[in-house]
Amino acid sequence: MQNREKIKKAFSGVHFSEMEKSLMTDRISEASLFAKERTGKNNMKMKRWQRVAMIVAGVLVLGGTVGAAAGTDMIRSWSNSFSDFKTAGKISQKASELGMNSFPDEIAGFEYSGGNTVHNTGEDEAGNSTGDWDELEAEYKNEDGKSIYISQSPVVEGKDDQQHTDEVVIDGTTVLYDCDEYLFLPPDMEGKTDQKLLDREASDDHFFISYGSDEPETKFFKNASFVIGDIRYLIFSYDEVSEDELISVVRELIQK
Amino acid sequence: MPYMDKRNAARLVNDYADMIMRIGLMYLKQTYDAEDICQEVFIKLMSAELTFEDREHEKAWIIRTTINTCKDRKKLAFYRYWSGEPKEELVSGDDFTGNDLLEEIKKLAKWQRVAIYLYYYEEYSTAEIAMLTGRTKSSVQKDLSRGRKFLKNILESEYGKDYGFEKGGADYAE
Repeated sequence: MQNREKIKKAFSGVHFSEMEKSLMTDRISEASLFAKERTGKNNMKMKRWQRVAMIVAGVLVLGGTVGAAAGTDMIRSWSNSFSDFKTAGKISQKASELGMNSFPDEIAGFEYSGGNTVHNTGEDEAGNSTGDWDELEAEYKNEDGKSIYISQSPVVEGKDDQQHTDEVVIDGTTVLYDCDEYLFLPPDMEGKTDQKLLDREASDDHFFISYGSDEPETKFFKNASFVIGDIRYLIFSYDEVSEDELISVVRELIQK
Repeated sequence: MPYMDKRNAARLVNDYADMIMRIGLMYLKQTYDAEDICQEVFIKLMSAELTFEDREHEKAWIIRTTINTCKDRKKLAFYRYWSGEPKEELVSGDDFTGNDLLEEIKKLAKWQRVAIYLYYYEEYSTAEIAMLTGRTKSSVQKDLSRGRKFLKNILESEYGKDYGFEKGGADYAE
């Protein structure tokens, strides 16, 4: 056997399994068509959840944003899974450059842990770009190890026709609170899911089914959003953070 | 329109996922983050407006992007360097000799490893490897030469076999 063949044979042993490739393809396909398949209700938050979930896994991920430019049918978002900004000062400097507000070092018992720029591109139904914009997203952790995320993005047009879980007014600012339930199912469950669950997903603004997990798993994604000036804030968590804890963060942000 | 979407995702993953992982393995010396590297490269394909003349052009872009992604990963101060065994599920172990040889290749310097892979497995010329990696042709030739010399010494001393690395032999690069 010649040298080239031996080396080829050695490298041939390094490969993804067919299942891994299939899962990778599914994830890419799901990400690229995400908004088209989930128009209406809070599809943006679904995407947001996916990004958050995947950041935990430590990979570069796809996600969403809270608003869509007029005519936008799909939003592609991406960010580095590693922190672009190690300190609140650094991300605040970037926020200033983008015309956004500063990020606190500490808020309601949560300390700044890291932050990223999230790049968004909107597309209309025909695939034409409807604009690009960046948002900033920072993670904060408390002493119990729970995380919350604070995101700032430009306010862009988009319809919000969903029924929110709760709505509170803090110092004249309307804060929309949602608690969404996500049922993650293995990919081979697609097409075999219980009709009752599918019916619930169709009728419940706060229930979503996502395929791709190893085991069936239910998680809750809590978020609160509000607008100050022309900046939209989204504060969210996938940990056991209560509505009160989330609203405390919102209150401090608004009152600062 | 972004180049990669649902229509061609399966083809691109089937054609390039393994190659990306192998280049990642050669550059970073581990497969632990291979799926991350793959995903980063595919996301770049999904997020950029790209036009390729043909499949070779497409492949070359993916190789360059993979190398750049590995460079970025390496730059991160908290990059978790791990030089242990590749994840078992990512590597088939049906050829013990082949895996031994891979372990020897992993002992080479970074650019030597990358050059060995691109030259022997992907069958690029030294000039093409130079273009893909952003190095000079003479640097690539040196990388290949030193890599071959190292492998020859190791393999001969360990297995007492002639693996055809002699100058002028069938596997000798220009």
